Amino acid sequence: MDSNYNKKVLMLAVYAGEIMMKNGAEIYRVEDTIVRMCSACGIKSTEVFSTPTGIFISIDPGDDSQEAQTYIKRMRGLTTDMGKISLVNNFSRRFTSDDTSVEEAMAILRKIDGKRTYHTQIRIMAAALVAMCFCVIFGGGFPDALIACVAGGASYTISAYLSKYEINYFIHGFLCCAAASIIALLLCGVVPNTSYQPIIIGTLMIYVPGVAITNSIRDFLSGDMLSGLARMADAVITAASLAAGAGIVIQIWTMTGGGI
Amino acid sequence: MSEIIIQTLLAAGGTMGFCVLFHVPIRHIPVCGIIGGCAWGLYQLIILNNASSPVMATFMAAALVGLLSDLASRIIKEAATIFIIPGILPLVPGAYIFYAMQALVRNDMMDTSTYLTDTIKLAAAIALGLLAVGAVTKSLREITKKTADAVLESVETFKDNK
Repeated sequence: MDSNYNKKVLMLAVYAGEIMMKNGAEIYRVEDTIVRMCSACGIKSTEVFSTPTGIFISIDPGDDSQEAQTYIKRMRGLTTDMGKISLVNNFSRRFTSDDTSVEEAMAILRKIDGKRTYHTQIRIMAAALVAMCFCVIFGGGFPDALIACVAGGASYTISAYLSKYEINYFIHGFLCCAAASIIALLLCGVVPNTSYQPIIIGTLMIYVPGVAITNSIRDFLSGDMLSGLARMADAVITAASLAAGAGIVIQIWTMTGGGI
Repeated sequence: MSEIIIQTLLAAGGTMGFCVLFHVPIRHIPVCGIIGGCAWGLYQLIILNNASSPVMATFMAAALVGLLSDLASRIIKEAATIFIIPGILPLVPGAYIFYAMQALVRNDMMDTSTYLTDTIKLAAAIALGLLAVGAVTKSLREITKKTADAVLESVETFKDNK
């Protein structure tokens, strides 16, 4: 075991941790995976510190002839992909029990990272379904549900388009919600017997920061206070961006005499 | 009663939609739908019977999500997060955020602060619900593991003595 091997192991562990963290895993799971993978490769002691914005890893191979190595990975742009978390989680368990080489493991992780579970069209339809269901739950009727379907689909299309360009997440939430509100208000003006409130709530539900809230609680529970706070702040700011998007559109609509 | 069934089905549909947005593997989507639907059904059952406040109802529903997800993760052998995150989403107070914002646009500060406080209370209820179940299941797991180890050990010593 030379230091070149140690470096490869370190890169492998960082990559696995990065995929999990980027796709919305809890801190405890990320750190556990990294430590498990390193110790499976014969590294004596591993220390990990991870937050939603970066992972810091130090490994010590445990004999005096080799030096300890450290790697810092800065992360930007969090998404949610449960499929990748599940795949990496299962892979890391398999990796510890069988003798997959480090190079093979790296190739498998690259494949997982590049994987796309659902096509954009299917996700847009799913967003329309979400908007429709929550519109009816919050008191919408049949015509409201149809408008919510259109507004949800359209705003998610915009969201998918925007996420191709690394746009600021506040602006992202703001624009998506504003677009949904404009469509809801316009169509409600045309179609009789509709109210815009359940429609906007339904489309709002697509972007609501449920993942950030849940993960922040789970981080607090396992004692990762820093990450818990970071994710709580993420949830609050995202909620503020959604409210601002819908609020400004409704304000302008009222001011220009759209009549609510 | 039929109201609750309709609400449950709608919440299940919405949860399954979220599963696709969050790239949950297709074989787990029905389970997530059932968990989300059950949680929202319980919430509606409590609210419609005036049994308790929305905060308490959210707490109970979040605890149910935690419990069912833990159960599912053990049966299917999959990380519990995959079930918890979509399951919790119907409970997230998106509507209250909207009402607060609407009151703010009306320049009605009384309503704004009421709805904002409600939002925070509901988010805290979700947190506490998940936390309670998480703490209990975690300690139960430890206890069962330790008991099993102790029993195995005593059986071993018993065999040795024989």
